[in-house]
Amino acid sequence: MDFFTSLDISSSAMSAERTRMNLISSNLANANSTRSVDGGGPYKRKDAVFTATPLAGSFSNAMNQANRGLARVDVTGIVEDSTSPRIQYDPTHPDADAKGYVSLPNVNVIEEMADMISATRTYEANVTAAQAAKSMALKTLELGR
Amino acid sequence: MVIKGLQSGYGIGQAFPASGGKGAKPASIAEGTGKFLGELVNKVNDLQMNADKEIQKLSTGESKGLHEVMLAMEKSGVSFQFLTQVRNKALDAYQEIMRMQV
Repeated sequence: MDFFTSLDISSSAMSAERTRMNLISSNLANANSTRSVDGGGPYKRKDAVFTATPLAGSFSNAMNQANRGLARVDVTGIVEDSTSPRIQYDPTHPDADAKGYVSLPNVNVIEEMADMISATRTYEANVTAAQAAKSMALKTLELGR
Repeated sequence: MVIKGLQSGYGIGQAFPASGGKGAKPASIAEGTGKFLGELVNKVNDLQMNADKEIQKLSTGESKGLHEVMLAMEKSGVSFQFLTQVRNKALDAYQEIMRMQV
């Protein structure tokens, strides 16, 4: 049934937003992490790359004029923010360098909060789209009553 | 005068051909409709089994996609309602015929 298509697209978007939300949680949790496990300096802010992928489906689905141009969203990569770390003077910090400066992660908490609102709202929009698709299908079934 | 039997008549069997494709006419209404309903039931059953599998995956921790489970459940729910509607229609038609004065 074709209303499944819109549910599948909404599902892909919800997965993508969930990945983004995970990354935001990670960024916020590590906003003050001055070490990495591999020994390479402070934590680096991470961001997801979203790609619009043409809807893969059966051959007849691909040939269907109405389904042409439809795209789901996929997370095709997680990139590290390469901006320089925040430098703070704190000689008592165990990770301070010889001059007493500490490299803190390049995470801006306010920016992360704004990203979080964006991720939440986008997720909600996709939930609403899925609900609308479902209620359209149910309304159609009411035709028979 | 030959009164043609119901076998070659028009009815649900033609509205819902058993095997897609315009040339392939079902052998009889009963067979065609039965096959169609059977396929529909199978499809809805598949969707429900899929929803069950998703629930199991979520509760065992194999999958963490809550929305995937909800959407699988919605899909099976809507398909089941569609099946119920088709069944109601078919039953209505049958009862209509049985009520007919001979």
